[in-house]
Amino acid sequence: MKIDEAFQIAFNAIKGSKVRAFLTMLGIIIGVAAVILLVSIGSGLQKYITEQFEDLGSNLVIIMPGKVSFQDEGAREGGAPGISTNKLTFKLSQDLERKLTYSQTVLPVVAKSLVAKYGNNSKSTGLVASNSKYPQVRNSPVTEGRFFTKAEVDSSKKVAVIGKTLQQELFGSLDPIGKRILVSDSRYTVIGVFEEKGAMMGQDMDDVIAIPITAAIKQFNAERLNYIYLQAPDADTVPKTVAEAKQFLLKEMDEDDFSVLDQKDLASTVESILTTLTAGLGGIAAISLLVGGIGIMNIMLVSVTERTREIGLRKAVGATSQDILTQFLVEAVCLSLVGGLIGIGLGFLGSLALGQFLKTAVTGWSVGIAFSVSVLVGIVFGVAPAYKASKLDPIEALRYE
Amino acid sequence: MKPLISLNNIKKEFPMDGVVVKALRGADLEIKTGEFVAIVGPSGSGKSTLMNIIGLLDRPTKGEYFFAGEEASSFSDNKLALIRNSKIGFIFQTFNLLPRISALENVKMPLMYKAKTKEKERKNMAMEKLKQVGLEERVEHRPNQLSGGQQQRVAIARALINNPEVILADEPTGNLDSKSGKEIMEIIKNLHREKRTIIMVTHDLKLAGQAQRIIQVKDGKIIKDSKTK
Ligand SMILES: Nc1ncnc2c1ncn2[C@@H]1O[C@H](COP(=O)(O)OP(=O)(O)OP(=O)(O)O)[C@@H](O)[C@H]1O
Ligand SMILES: [Mg+2]
Repeated sequence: MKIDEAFQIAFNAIKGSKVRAFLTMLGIIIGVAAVILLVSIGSGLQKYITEQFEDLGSNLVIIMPGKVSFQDEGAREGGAPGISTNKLTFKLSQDLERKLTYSQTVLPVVAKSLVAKYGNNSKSTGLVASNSKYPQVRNSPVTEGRFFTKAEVDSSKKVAVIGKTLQQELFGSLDPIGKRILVSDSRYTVIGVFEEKGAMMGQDMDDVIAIPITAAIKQFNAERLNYIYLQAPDADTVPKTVAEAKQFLLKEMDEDDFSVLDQKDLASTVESILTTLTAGLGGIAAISLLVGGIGIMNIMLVSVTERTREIGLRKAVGATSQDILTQFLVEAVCLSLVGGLIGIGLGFLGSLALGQFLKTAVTGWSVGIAFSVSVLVGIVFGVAPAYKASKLDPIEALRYE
Repeated sequence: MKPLISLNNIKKEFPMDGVVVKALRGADLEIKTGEFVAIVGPSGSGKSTLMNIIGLLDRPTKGEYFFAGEEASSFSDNKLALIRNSKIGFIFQTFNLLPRISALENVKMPLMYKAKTKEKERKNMAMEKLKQVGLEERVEHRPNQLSGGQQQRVAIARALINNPEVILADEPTGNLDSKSGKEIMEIIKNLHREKRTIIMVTHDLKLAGQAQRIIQVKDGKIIKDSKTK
């Protein structure tokens, strides 16, 4: 018997009992769809995080208040800005800038959310107060106007650079440059607009306003910093910068009062957590594939029993044991294959639907694995029933009632 | 001329819950090419067992069986399947058609197990056989849309598809009314006229009388072997 004929018989058998075939395939369908969907969520997350780190700027070292540990339980203790345990101050950042030998770029950051107003338009937005090196360090170039200068920072000048979203909300089609806006309770002059960054995982990166850190400290009485970014000149000096910063900070405070994270460490730690997570999700989904396989075996065994007379007849008119084995094996593979294809389709659609809310990425390898696993499941769980069928004695099979 | 079929002291035993059922107790029989033989005997006498052995569906417990001059106990399972496919055509009392496929597909089915024949040719062959049994109008019907007599005709067309030398019919009219039975009998007699060897089990002595030769089986033995005139 030729294999394409075996496929034809199998498809006819499936077509002949659609509901039953569907129920048989359900396990595989759910399993494959789950694998595709979960892996797409996992790798979407991974991709997002990676992009975030790239977006941060290159060769960055981040100093945060309190102990930040991704290795242990991903918990972050202590040190929210403004709370007394936060010992990162603007003055400290200035001292740091003087002391560091490798890195010339120190970027203290105060971040908070507040409301910005222009005329009758108002919008709650995210404030980043920093110094003149912000566009370079954070990869945020200014397209219209300019960013504030070192002199403006030193003199606590009330100037602001805004993101595209905020610009549109407050000014619509008006030119924002030179306009005065109300930031919380103080007036600032808009001097520039950031290049558009787009949205990431529901967060609008263009809904932002940047002002000199000195102005923010005065206005909000905010002595405590959320972060200090250090930028090393190249990848090789990153570890040296980390060591230097640690050394300096340990003289000022306890080990538990700060964390120095280099961007690559951070990225790779987060990424390895996510890889484990993705593999774990995939693994759990794979168990349902196994259950699906058992379902197929079950139905195939029933089918062999039901079709005992058919098997006897086929043997009587010349089918060899090999022919019968092929036929039933192909039928099992068809069931799992069709189930797998439906599952891939559903998983794909599900991932598209979920993509509206969070970042998903259907990966080639998950589709490939799901597809080959479902074929494999068909073969593995089809062998026992097919073997049973092939070994039937023609006479006994023909006599079977 | 060498006989097509030659049985030499064939015995068949079935072990059943400790006891052994002796279905055949030493059968000797020779059938030549082109003969039309009827096998008769009481129920349980071993007629079907004998047919299954002749048709290479079953192996004897003891004794020698020569099919076309070759001793069959040495045949591999695959060789048995090949002979059943190409040299022997079975007709069963219960038709044994596959219920989910059309008459045409049923007739074509044995070709699937044969070395390459083109689909178009297969269809032509099947159509020709269906025509031969007078069913060219019913090719797309499924078995449950056909009368008993029509179903048996489909089964005969299927048995003929590979132009076998031997037709084995185990009570082919057993499930049919007398009119359909007569029609089936006419077809079988035509097959004999085409020089095929026919071996037919029947309870109906009138039908047996239409064969050239009647073999009587009783308690697993051939007790009488006679020519009809
Ligand atoms: N597979 C089997 N297992 C056990 N016993 C069997 C088997 N096949 C046949 N027999 C026994 O062998 C004997 C002969 O059976 P067989 O079917 O050949 O009779 P038969 O002459 O064809 O009868 P009938 O006219 O009723 O069809 C019977 O006693 C039957 O019970
Ligand atoms: Mg019988």
